[in-house]
Amino acid sequence: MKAVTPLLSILLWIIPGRASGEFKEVRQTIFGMD
Amino acid sequence: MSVALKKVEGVESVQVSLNRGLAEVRLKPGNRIDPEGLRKIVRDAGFTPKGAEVSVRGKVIEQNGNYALEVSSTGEVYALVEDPQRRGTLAELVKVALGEEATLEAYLAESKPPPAENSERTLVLRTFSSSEK
Repeated sequence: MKAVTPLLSILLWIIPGRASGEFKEVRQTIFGMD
Repeated sequence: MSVALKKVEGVESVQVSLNRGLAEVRLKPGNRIDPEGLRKIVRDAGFTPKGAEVSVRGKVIEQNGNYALEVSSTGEVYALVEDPQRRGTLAELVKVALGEEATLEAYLAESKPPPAENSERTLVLRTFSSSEK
């Protein structure tokens, strides 16, 4: 039990802070050669 | 340009159509790609990057009385503005997802050429989904 408690604390600390923000797709408009 | 874009870590697939003037880049889950990095590659290949339609997931936040999207993979914050042709969408997003994560289809405005690093980044909201992961 003593070992489980710190592990649980770490998980509880990590999970709420876990964010999945990211770009999924970029459709970039481009102009021809300069 | 296509080869250079494919080499970027986190890129899943690239389709470049010079006829359509479009580079479509799909990104892998867990990527840390900032579209500015992709634009630099386009620029280095001798092309001029303009605006981009993007699919992006992030946290909807309020900042100085305005709304913004915080993208955790890059740490960037994008000001959110309403698409004049889709009035009410931003208000709806804020209503259902303020402080939460949401997936947005949006227009990422053309960036100022370097060295204008600190210019504000703006996303014009098209549609959103607040539940999809």
